[in-house]
Order: sequence, then structure tokens, then C-alpha cells
Amino acid sequence: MAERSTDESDLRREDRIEIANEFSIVHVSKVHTPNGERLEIFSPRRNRLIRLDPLELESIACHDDESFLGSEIVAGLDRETEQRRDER
Amino acid sequence: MSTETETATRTEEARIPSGSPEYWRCVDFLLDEAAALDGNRFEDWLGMLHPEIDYRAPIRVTRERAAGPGFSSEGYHFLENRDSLQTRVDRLATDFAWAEDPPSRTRRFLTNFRVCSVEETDDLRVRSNMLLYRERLDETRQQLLVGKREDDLRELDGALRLVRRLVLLDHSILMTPNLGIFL
Amino acid sequence: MYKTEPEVVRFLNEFDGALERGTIPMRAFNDAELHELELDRIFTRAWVFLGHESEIPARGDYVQRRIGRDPFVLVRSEDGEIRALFDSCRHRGAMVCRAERGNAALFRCPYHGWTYMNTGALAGAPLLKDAYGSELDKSKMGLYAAPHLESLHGFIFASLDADAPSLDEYLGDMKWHLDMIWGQCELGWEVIGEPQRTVLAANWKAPADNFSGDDYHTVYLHRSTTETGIMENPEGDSDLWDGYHVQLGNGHHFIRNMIPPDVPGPRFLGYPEEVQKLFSPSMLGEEQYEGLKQTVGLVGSVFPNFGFLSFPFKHDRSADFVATMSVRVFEPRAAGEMVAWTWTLCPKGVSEEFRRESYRTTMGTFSAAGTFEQDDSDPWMSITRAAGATYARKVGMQLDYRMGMNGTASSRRVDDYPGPGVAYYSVLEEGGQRGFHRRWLQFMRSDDYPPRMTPEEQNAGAGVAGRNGDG
Repeated sequence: MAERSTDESDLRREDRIEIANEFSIVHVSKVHTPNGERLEIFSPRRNRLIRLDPLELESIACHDDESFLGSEIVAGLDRETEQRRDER
Repeated sequence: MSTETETATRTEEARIPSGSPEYWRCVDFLLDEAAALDGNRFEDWLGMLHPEIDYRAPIRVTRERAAGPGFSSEGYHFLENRDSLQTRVDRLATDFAWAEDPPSRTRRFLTNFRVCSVEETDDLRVRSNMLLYRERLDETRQQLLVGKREDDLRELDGALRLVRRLVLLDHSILMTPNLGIFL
Repeated sequence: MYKTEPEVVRFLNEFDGALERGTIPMRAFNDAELHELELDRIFTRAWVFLGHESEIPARGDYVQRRIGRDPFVLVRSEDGEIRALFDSCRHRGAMVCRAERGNAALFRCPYHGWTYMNTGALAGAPLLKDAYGSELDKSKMGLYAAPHLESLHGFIFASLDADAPSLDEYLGDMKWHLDMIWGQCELGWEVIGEPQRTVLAANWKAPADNFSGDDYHTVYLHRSTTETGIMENPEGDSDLWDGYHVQLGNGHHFIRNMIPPDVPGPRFLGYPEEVQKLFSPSMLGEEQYEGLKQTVGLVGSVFPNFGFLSFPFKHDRSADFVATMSVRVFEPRAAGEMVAWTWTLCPKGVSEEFRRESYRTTMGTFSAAGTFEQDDSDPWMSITRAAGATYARKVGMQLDYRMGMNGTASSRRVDDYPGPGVAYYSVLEEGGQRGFHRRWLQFMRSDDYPPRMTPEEQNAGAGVAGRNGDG
């Protein structure tokens, strides 16, 4: 499962790279857990983080649905705004 | 996109204190150079250039913050050497350089001087802000060229000469109809 | 559709009559009403140049460009197609892309977060279900896109009119010429750096007109370049008057300077051997290849506001002549204002050294700092200024475009031009410029999409005996 914990113990992080355009910016790094490795993606704007394992990354790479990203964006926007509303 | 960034200093540079004799020597040189250009004394100006001068002003486009200031790595308004600058001056001296006859009235304002020495050379690097006001004929349209200069000065025969000029303009679309003047 | 006021209709009729006599009412070069009409009648219908594919090589690459003066995002979408998307959110019209250049798979409007795929389709918006329920049909809410976009040898043109003909049809005999210049390089061409942009207080038609066959000005306006040795002296060798003016139909024009095979001189626009190897007769055949080989210089204009030129120039007098390739757009900002866009191109696969020299020479001669072009901007601006004069309107001042009309001067129509179109030799004539304005008038008056204008029609009214040997 994709890990969302920000528990930093036992994690070794390689130098991060930034991927940005005029619409967003993310920090990406490879992280080493005691027994394996993950790709960590962090959104500084939304203060959210995800750590994806190789199989998850493989399925993203192999996804051939053009609207994959589009539908994720919609779902992500809706989740975020619902969460904010719930928090109030 | 370009690596020309708005750094205060780069790792190979050491800051020279403002107000020191070296600082003033550099500033005086640039002020004299500006006076020569504003006075249309182009032969004098050419005499202040090093034979190996690299003179450039990259084209700029608006980029998002993360992508940097947006200077092109290959596109230039000016990409000149001593010969091409000499040719430009020669052209102005003919009777047919209409763009600059009658000549523009210009006034160069230089401020924000920061002087550094450059590692492994004896060159002095000066960063300054430039505001170039220009008026032509009876036009009241404002023509400004604003930007930052990065100039390298090198001694030749006992005097400082300009060996490198990089002009980083604040414009993505130039508001002057031509660049018949030197930055 | 813009409603044409009676006064403007009357002016266009007057323009028609004047053009038949070889003059143009100067008012056309600085009139607010005509300008508004142009933006609608010409720029929302004609095929307009937007950029070159080499500027957006990867999926998601985009640049901001203008059709007329309207903002469009020129993007290579994720599906590989190139599109021109009107830069305005379908919700409230805010600008979606604000960087002038970038890469994105998705564009998000900063106002309410509406998000579009880079095909222009609406991907989603915040709280879509809550806010809109089933009211919003996403499939109908994508960014507006130019209905026609085509690219020829990487040069991207678009038309905003669904009724526009194909680009090939629109180009008429210019297509053959663009094939000759840009279609014979096996690796293709590429833009170097970014286009330069400058605002001038000039009407866009002043440079467009100049690029449509004004050779006459080179000997005087650009005299500083012969005196400093960076252009050959035309009066000396009569080189500059030797050349063809070719009307290509639909308002397009081509100036071509050629050197016969038995005469020594530059070949292939002055490109050196290393670059000549990149051109191949296998692309378009021997005839086109020979055509390019024998061409030393050219200036072209595609109606309405696209120009290009290539000549071997010297950037400084100690250098050799270097081949150049300059491409221009004259963006109409207002009746008395335009933005000059300048791109420099080079064949792909050349050495870094040549690429740098060709860039320096192209920009060094034809750009804001160009030793030729800085002088051009002066008359373009002063014409525009005079054209706005009340006095000029009062006396109906006409600009004189009669050169070559009477058929007795040195430039004559010829039958032996090695290419399509209506050709004249030498270049001391103004038929191309009259032809540009003729097409302008056609666009301004046609309520429906203007039909094809043949080269003959474009050259109509050129006067009596035009052919070689006639009286």
C-alpha cells in the first residue's frame, strides 16, 4: 500500500529533485526503508506526501488511459475540498 | 532555458568591499563609459573595450518562478564581438544610419554596484542596475530599457577595459522600436 | 461578424478605385475603424503563422502566441496533436496559461481551479458534483480551439474560421516555394532560441507591404550597409536589381535572386558545403533541388502578416558572408501599433559553430538591433504617424504604388520563371505590394470567406504591355 506516514525514523532519503511548471511543484526523492525503497512525492503547496512502491509505479507507467490523470485530478480536487469542509 | 541567473555572487567570486579603491576604480570606469555612450562618443567607447570582448543581451520570456528568470540560452538581442561592435559604430558614422540620425537622446543611470574579484583571473566583476532612458525625434512615448548588467573588467596597458558584458533586461517585449543604441 | 459602417464601405470603394490607378489612400495605414474591421475580417479568417514545431518538441510543450492580437496557447498535446487553444477559462474567462513558455499535461485556471487536459478538454473542477450536479456537461466546456491548424515543414499555421480552405489551398503557389526553401532538408529546420518581440508605433501593414516586394528601398535606406561593406553595392554590379518578383495568388509574394549555374557565386542561399549536404534532391525531385541551388537570396510574404527572408550577409566586415534565415510576424496591436516578432532558423544537424554564426548574422542584420532593420522601423513609424493626420484625410492623400504599371520601365513580365506564379524581372516594380493590398481589400469586403485570388487576379491592373518585348 502507498505509505503516507511522515514518520522519518529509519528512512534514508536521497537528494530531492523538483518537478515544476506554472501550475504546480512537487519534490521527488528516492527513500530507503530498512528493507526496501520507495519513490516519495511531496506537494509543498498542499503539504501532502505519498511513498509509492515499485509495483504501484509500474502500474502508473503502464496505464494507457489518457484520462487517467484527468480523472485523478478531479477526484483529488473533490477529496481535498470535502476534507476541508469536514474539518470546519 | 538559460543558466544566467540573478545570483549575488557565484562560488568563484569574492566580494570586494564597497567604497574600497578597487570598487571606485570599477565604478568610475562604468560611469565614464556611460558618459561616452550618452555623449555619442563611440570611438572613445570602442577604446574602452577589450579586444576580446564578449557582449551579449539574451532574449527573455516569462516563466513560472520555479523555472528561473526566463533568459534564453541561445536567443540574443545582442551577441557581439569587437569586430561587430566596430562595424556598428562605423555604420553610425555613415550618412545613412537613419535610426540614429538624428541621434536618440539617451541617459544611462547606473546604480546598485556590487564588485567581486573572479577566482584564477585578475578580472573584476561588477554587477549594476541599468536604467536607460531614450527619446527620439519629437516622440513623447516613453522608451526605457531596464535591466541588470554583469560586466567583467580587465586591465590592458595600465587601464581597465570591458572584456565581458551580459545585459539581463527586465523586458520580455522590448518597448523600444529598435536597438540602435548600445546597452 | 463586425458590422461594416457605411462610411467604411465608402472608403473601401474609394480604396478599390485608387488601387486600380496604382495608389493607396494613406488613411488605410492608421485608422481605428479599419483596424477593428481587419481584426475581424482578416485575422479571424486567414491562415496565420504561430510558430515552429521545433519550439514545442515534446508532449506538453506550449508557448503563448497571438492570432491577430488575441492570446492563444500553442501546445503539443499529450496525444501528439498540436493545438491552438484560446487562453481563456470557460468558467469566467480568466487566463489559464500565464507563462509564455512551459510544459504541462494539465492546465489549471488560478481563479476557481478549473482544470483542462492539454488537449483543451475540461478534466474537472472543484466540487463539481456539489456545485453543478448534472448541470455541467464537461464535454462541452473545453477551451476554445482554432478549428484549423496545419504545419508545413514544421511551420505551424492556424485559421479561426471553420470555412477556411486547407493550408495548401490558402498558400496557392507559395506552397511550391516554401517546399523549395524548407522542404528539402532531410533533418528539417529548427528555431534557435526564442523569438524576439519589439513594440513599434507602426501599422502592421507597413512591414507586411515592405516584405511584399519593396526592393527599391535597399539602395538608399540601407546604404549604410554597403558603405560599411556588409552588403554588396547594388549599383556597382547591378546584382540587387537582378531578380524575380513573383505573385503567387491569395496575396502572397516572393522575391528571388538567382545565379545561373555557369556563373560563380553562392549556392543554396549561401549555405556552406557542410550545410548543403543536408539538402537532398530525393525529397522533392531534381527540379526543386536545382531551384534552391541556384537561389542566392529571397524575401517572401504570406498574407496577411507573415514574412521571411534569407540572404548571405556579413555581421561584421571582417567576417565572411554567412547564410541567414529570418522569419517574421507583424502582430496588429492597434491602428498605430504593432509587435514585431523575429525568429531565426537553421537546418538541423549543422555544427555548433555555424549555428552560432548564422544566428549572429541573421539577428545582427534583421532584428531590433539589426544593422538593416533598425533603419526600416523609422519609415514604418513615420508613415503610420502621417497616415493618422487629419490633413491627410482631408486632402485624400494617396501613396504611390505605380512602379512597373506602365509596362515601359525596365521590369517586365517574363515567361521563363522557373516556378509557378506571375513573374516579373527585374525587381524594380511594385506589383507585389499592390497585390497585397488587393487581397487586403478582398478580405475586408467579403462577408463570406474570400474565394481564391489567382496570381493573375492579384496582378490585375498592372498596366498595359507587361510582357518582354512589348511596346
